Amino acid sequence: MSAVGNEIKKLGLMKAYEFLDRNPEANLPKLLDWFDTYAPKDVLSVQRDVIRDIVTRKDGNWYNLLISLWSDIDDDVRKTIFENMLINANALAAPQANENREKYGCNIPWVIALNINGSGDSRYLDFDEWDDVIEQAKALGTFMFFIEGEEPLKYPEEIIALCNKHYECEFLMFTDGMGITEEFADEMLRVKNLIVAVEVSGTPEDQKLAETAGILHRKKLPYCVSCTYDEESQDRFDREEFFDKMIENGVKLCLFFSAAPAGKDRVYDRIVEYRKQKPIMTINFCKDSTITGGCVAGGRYYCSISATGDVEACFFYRESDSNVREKSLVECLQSPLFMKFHDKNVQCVLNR
Amino acid sequence: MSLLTEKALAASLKKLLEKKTLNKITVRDITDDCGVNRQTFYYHFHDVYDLVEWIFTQEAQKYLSDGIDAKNWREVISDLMDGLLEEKSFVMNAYYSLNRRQLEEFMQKLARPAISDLVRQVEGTRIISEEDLEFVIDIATFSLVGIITEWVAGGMKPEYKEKLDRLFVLLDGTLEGMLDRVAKR
Repeated sequence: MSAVGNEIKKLGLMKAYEFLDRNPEANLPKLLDWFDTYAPKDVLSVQRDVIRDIVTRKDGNWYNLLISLWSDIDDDVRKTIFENMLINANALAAPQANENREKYGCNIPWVIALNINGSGDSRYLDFDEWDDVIEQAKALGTFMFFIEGEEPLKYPEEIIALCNKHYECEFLMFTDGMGITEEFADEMLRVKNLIVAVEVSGTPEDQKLAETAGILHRKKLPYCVSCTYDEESQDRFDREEFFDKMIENGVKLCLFFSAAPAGKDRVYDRIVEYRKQKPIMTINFCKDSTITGGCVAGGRYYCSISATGDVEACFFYRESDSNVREKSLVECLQSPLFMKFHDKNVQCVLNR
Repeated sequence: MSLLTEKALAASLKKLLEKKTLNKITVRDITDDCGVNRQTFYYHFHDVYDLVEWIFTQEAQKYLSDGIDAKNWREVISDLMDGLLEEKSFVMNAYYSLNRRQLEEFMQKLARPAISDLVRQVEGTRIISEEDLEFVIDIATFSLVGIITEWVAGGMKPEYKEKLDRLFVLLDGTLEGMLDRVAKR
C-alpha cells in the first residue's frame, strides 16, 4: 500500500484506540459492533469471536487481564505498545513483509533477536552496526526486536539509544533484571517502546523478580518473565504456585522456551489448562506450533543475530552460514541455511 | 538535570545552520562537530527534527516558565519575539526546511499550555463548560501563532514592534469578551 494509504489506515486505527482508551469497559463492545458492521464476516473471524467472548464474560480471566492493562500501565506506554505492535509491526508491516517475501523469495521474520554485547570491542557489533541492521529490517517489514545477550543491561545507553532512534518499533529485552534501577525505568518511560522480560528460574532465587517488579509496577511499566526449561528442569515450573506467584507480581505475559520433547512436557499441559483460568498470557515459543502453524525458526517468524553478527535460525540451533558484516540482511535470509526453513517444514531440532 | 549533552548538540546544530540548510544536515555532521558518537545523539533525540523541536521548546520555556498572566502577557509575547529575532538564522532556516504547517504545529504545542493558563486565570468566577473553554484557548493560540508565523514568513523584519502594539490594542479585552459570551453566568 502507498505511504499515504498507510497514513490513513494508521489514523483510523489510532482513532479507534483513542475511543477505546476513553472508557475501555464500555467502548470495547461498541468497537466490536462497529467492526462487525464495517468489516466482511471472514476478516479476522476467529479473533473476533475470541475477543467477543472475552468482553462478554466479565468474570472471566481474560477480561480481568484486559482491564488490568488500563489500571496497571502508563497511558502513553500502552498507546505506544498498541501503535508499535498492533499497527506498525502487524497491520502495516504484514503487507510489506508479504511483498518482500515474494520479491526476494525468502522468509521475512516478524521478530529479530539482537545479541548486544557492548561497543568498544571490535569483535562485537556496535551501535552504528545494529542501527544499520534495524534500518534494513524495517525496509523488509520487521518492526519487532528482541534484545538478548549475556546481559544486555550492562549496556543501558546503547539500548536506550536504539529504542529512541527506532521509536516506531517495539523492543523486548531479556534480562536477569538485576540492572533495572529507578533511573533505567525512567528512561523506559521516556522511550516507551521497551518492555523487559525478566528471566526466572522457578527457584527461590526468583526473589529478585519481586524487587524488579516493584520498581516496574510503581512506574506503571509492563513486564514479562521468560522461562527456559528442559525435561529435567521442568519440575520447577510445573507447579500452580509458580503461575500464581507471577500473577501476584503483576506479570502480564509469560514466555516459555521449552527443550522438553513433545508429549513429555508437563509445563505445557499446565499452560494450556491455565489459559482458560488465570489472568496471565502465556506463549510457548516451541510448543505453540498449532497456533503459529509450525516451527517459528529460520526467519519464518523469528531469527537471531549473534553479538559478532552471525545470523542464526533459532536459539536452540546456533548454526550460521552468514554474517551481517559481510552481507546485507536480505542476503543472509536468502542463504542456504535459511532457505531450508523457507522451502520445507523443518522439524524442530529438539524433536529430532 | 544538567542537559549538558543536549545543549552541546544544539550548539553544534546552530553552528552548522550558519553554513547549510537543515535538510542537508545529518546526525553525523552534528556529532562530528560536537565530538560525540551517534549513539549519544540518539540516546537523547529521535532525529535532527527532534533536536530542532527541543531547541524551540527550550527557547519558549525561557519566556513562558515564569508564567503568563492578564498583566504581563504583552511583555511575554514581546520578549518571545525578541528572543526569536536573536536566533533569526536558526528560526528562518527551520521555517524554510520544515514547511509552514509543521512550524505552526511546533509553535502551537509550545504556546497552548501558556495560553491555557492565561485563559483559565481570566475565566475567574465565570461558569464555562470545558468544551467552550478549550475552544477559546484554541482561538487565542491560533491568533498568536498566526501572527508570529506570518512575521517569520515575511523574513522576521525587526520593525514588528509597531505592529505588535496595534495588535495589543486590538486584543485588549477580547479574551474577557469571548469568555463572557460563552459563560453560563
